[in-house]
Amino acid sequence: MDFAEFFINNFGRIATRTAEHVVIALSALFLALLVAVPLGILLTRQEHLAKPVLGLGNIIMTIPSLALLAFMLPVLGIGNRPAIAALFLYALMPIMRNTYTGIKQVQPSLIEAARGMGLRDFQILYQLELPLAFSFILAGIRTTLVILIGWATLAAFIGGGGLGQLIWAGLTNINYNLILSGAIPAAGLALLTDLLMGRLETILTPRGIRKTRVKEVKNAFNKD
Amino acid sequence: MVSFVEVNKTYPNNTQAVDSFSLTMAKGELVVLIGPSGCGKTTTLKMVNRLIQPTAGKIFINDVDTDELDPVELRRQIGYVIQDISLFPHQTVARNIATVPLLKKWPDGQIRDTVDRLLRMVDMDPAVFRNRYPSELSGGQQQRIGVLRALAADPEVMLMDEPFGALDPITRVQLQDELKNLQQKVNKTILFVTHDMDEALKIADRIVIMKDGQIIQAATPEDLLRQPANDFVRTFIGEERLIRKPDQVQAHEVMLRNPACLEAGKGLRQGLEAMREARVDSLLIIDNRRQFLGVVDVNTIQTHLKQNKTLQEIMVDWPTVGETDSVKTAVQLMVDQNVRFVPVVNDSGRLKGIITRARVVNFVLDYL
Repeated sequence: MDFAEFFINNFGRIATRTAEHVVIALSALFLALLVAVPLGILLTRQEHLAKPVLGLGNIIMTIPSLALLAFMLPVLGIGNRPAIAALFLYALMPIMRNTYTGIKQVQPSLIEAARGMGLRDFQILYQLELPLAFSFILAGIRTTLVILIGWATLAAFIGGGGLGQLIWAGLTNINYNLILSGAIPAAGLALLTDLLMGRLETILTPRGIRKTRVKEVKNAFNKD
Repeated sequence: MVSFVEVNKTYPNNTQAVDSFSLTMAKGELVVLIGPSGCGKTTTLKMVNRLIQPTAGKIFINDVDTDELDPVELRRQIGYVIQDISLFPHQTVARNIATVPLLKKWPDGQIRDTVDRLLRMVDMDPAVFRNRYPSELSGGQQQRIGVLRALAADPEVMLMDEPFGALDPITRVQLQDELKNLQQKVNKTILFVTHDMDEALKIADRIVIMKDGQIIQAATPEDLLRQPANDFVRTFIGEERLIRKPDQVQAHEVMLRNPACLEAGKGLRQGLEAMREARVDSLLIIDNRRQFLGVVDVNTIQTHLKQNKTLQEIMVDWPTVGETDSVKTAVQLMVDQNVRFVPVVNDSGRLKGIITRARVVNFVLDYL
């Protein structure tokens, strides 16, 4: 049977798995945003915490994905929940670090001017730091989401859903069509996400900065 | 209007950044703080709006102790302009200017009118500039907007920390002029930090020179130039900027070196030749050790040309001044003796230079 035929025949199943896959990845991302963004902001206010917390995040990142998934099993059982939990833990670090760095890279002279004019700390955060850090943070979210979509395929290994199921089934039965029917949509999802988030980034970058970015890129070329 | 009373700033590692700073600024006065790097000028400025907290002493604005106010409220009453990029890049010019009025919750109409009025004050058409972004402006335009932003809420006091330092010299001069103009219209009490002496001399009502955290001299530009307090101030201002009267300047500072001269033993024709080359009508006569002996003018030579004489034989005496004599003495001599020039000699009578009427005019022009 050729792949196209297989695909059309099993479309319903593939679509379901794709939807599951997206839900798993997005859930993990959403939870991670809830925790990591405020944490990242907090770290910029409490510098002494920054090093240890970011260090801890680094350590989590070094744990192999499969191992982390496995650690979740005794705690959360099998199925989607441990998968989302593991993905959540992975997503924490990049988002937190990007939030922290994004805010830190705002020009200190701007912060000083804002303070000198009489903005309170939270006003500086909302009116200045977050808008200026936004595209940086969004870039981090974009990368993280793409990676999560990749890793979500592993959810199947611990009984969760998603396109990993198809890949796993295909592997055990040595059915190439089955494997492809999982792998191709997964890759496609990742690409699509990257593209869409790229568009989103451009649309959401405050106008004043967008132009500076272009100038910076142009200048970089001219210097060479 | 703004008073500093024994203000001190000592850091935990015992560096004393500002030491017993006391100063009273009158309403509408533009005071410039200037001094070498690390003298404490910026620290002093930042203690006014409490970006830096004094370790001792008090600062009063309109007889109110700034320590008793909420720092944030205090800052909203003070205009603040800094050197580096400070316009918020993600906001339009209009929004930037409106920053403090918005914090103070002014009505929209009032804010809009204020922004337009301020832009017009610096000849920037509101219709064109309101909705521009900082990245679309030149450095000079950005700093103008920075100043307007500081003025927007109509504060009585402005703090400016080397605001024109990052601009090219031409733009800098333009903005200095504009600031002076603006100051005529708005009459703010301004504390201005710079390290540029020319800028200070140009815009200040009073200049405060600082070193190692202390005030060395506080005076109007005129007084500073006339009577620098000590050698440090003299050096810092730069000799060439100081105003000195003719009786303080010495002859050797004003004279022309290498005046046209010739040894006494030479002949008349050689004398004529020398005069023609130097394009002068008088020649200073010297001996072989460059001792000044007298003067020969072209007419005398013409008269005696046919006779085979040496310069020595036809020269005449001439009044001279010493190198270290004042210019005033030289000019007095020129007047009293009705001469057009005065040779300058050293202690042993050796010719060093000449002071002509042209040189005197130059000198006067330099100090006008």
